[in-house]
Amino acid sequence: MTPYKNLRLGVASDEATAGNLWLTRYAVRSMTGQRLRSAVAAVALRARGVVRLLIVLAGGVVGSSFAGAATPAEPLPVDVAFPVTASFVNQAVSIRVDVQPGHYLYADRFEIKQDGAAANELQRKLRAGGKPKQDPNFGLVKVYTQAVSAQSKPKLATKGDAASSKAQTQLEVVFQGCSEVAGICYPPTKRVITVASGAKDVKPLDAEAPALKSLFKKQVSQ
Amino acid sequence: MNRRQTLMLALAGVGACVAGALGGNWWLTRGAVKGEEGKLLGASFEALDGKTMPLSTWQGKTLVINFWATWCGPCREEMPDFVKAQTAFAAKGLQFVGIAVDRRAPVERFAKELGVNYPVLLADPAWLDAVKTMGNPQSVLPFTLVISPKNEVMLRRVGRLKYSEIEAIFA
Repeated sequence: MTPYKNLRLGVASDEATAGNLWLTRYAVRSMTGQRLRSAVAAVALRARGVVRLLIVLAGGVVGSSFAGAATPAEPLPVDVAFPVTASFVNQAVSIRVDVQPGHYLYADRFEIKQDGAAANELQRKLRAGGKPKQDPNFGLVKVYTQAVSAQSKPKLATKGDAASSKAQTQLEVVFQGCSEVAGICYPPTKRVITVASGAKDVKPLDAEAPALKSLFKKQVSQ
Repeated sequence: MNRRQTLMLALAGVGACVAGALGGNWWLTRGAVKGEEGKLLGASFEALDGKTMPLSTWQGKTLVINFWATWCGPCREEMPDFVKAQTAFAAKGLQFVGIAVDRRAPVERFAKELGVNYPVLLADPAWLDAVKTMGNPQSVLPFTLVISPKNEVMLRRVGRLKYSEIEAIFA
């Protein structure tokens, strides 16, 4: 049995026919070194078969991707969608919440505490901003589609005031937002940030471990 | 490669695309009930009338379990479709159950306003942690599971479930 005949067994009929014709012409032109050249031809034909198989498999992969595209985007983790940072400089606190494109935060759902007590000044500032949005469910609401920040008034150092200066402060930030691109809403989320005096852009420690249950006891208690 | 071969190859590619799209979605959404889903189907929740209702009440139906809340706009938007589907496919064994992770008062108000025609139950917020292992890793709403009469997960959906998708289950 020649390598040529082996080839016929190894490829699909169309492929074999095309390969056979090509090999037949080749064989007529030169019988010298036929075995070597046939082996090379066999590799070439098999490579073409593999390429075809890869094209078909790629089609399947593309199809799977379209399946994902047909459904809404996968929701981002809340700490990626709305990253929170805080600074504590000159005894003044500032809070910043970024908003990823295609996401929004409800202005009136911010709740801020500093060292366990309501931080009214910061909360009022965060709730006061935002742009109006006519929500089909909630009517006219104010939302943030871009980063939002608020800062408390700095406390000016005076004689004898050093004792009242804090070495650090703890902030609790509660916020709630949605993703238009994913068609979902995140539950109210609480983040706790401990910021040392002079520190800037500190992230919450609990960013990866939201305590949903404890938060909801207040937010949606039954 | 002649024209016929090219055409055949193109058709095979298109076929693979379609198979990939359908198969990929099937693979991502289906599966046997296990773990937290098993706990969910064995759990009981408080209904709006104050009675405790086990989800096993509806075993043997095509059960659509929809986690939602009144503070969630997309949840409210999909619910009129659910009301319509409950009416259309109840005779074919469809049963919606809404699980509200919310306070009683706004849930009662919204359910009445919309004319919800299927049971609405109230869930402890801890269920938002539990849904992470059911195909909703970010604990977002709405989240819907469709369970077959044989206790198999037919569909997991984070985000809106369309009427056409419910319709397709009974096609």
